[in-house]
Amino acid sequence: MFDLEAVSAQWLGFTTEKMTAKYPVEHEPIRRHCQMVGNTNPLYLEPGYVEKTPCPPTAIPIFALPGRLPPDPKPRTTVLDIGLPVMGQGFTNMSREQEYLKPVYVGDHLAMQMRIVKLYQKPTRLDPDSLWIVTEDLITNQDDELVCLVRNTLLNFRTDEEWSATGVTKP
Amino acid sequence: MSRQRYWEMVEVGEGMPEYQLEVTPTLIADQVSGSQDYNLMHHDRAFAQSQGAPDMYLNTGFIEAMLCRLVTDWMGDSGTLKKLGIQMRRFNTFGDKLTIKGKVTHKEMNAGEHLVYCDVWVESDREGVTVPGKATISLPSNQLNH
Repeated sequence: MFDLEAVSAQWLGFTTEKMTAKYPVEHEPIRRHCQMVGNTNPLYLEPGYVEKTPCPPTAIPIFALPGRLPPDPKPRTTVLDIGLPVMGQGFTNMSREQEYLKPVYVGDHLAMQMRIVKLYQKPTRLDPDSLWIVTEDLITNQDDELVCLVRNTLLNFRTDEEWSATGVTKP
Repeated sequence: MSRQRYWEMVEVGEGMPEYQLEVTPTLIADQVSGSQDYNLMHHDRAFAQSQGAPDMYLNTGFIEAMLCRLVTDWMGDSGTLKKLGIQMRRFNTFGDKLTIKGKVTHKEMNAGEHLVYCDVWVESDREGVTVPGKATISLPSNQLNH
């Protein structure tokens, strides 16, 4: 049985250790990040320009997550990695805000700390006891300067399979 | 490289040039490659449906990248995207035809910066507005260049 009060008492304010990304900021993932949405700005794509141009800000988190590379086919989220008790095995992002505080360039090496800032339950059509998990990622560069702050709201819920296993009809 | 936009040129209410994307099999593959998000709900239909989604759906990083393209193309090379916030209200799923749009809502000078505030959003042909968002942009001033 999920106990929001007990989980909050233990986990609110929890901050991970600083995790340094495996790879530095590289041109090739920037190119793929842009080309997936048809962004053809040569400053991001062309050798000679890209090294002198700040990385597209929305690509910054890619270079800060140590778990993203190499590919891992398992559904994953950092809150599971740290052992936060959750309602179920269903996850989907509800909102995200990114603040870009300093430019990031090819060759920079980023690190990330995540902290849990809010936990609450509010019904959704997916689960009447849906758990809302608000986290902040603090992304720093090799000089320990804060370059990006990410505030994410993740929805956690019981999947249809989990409801079936309990024998209780999903309301 | 795009035409530079200066803060003085911007009018509250003006729209950004919109563009379209269709969620095709190739786009789904590019999404995984370009976002490095291997969670199955974004490229595996059966898994996505087991999670309550109608089909595999675009991830948060992809949507942010779409809006980043909209904003950076509009602002020009000397502008700076300072903040981007989005709400995932509806799924953007396989087969959807998406239009990415934006509009200036406010501009001000603050602490020496020339700031522009915008509503940005994604619309699908199936659901209407799926992802509303807000962007804060810093632009150069042409008063400083003359």
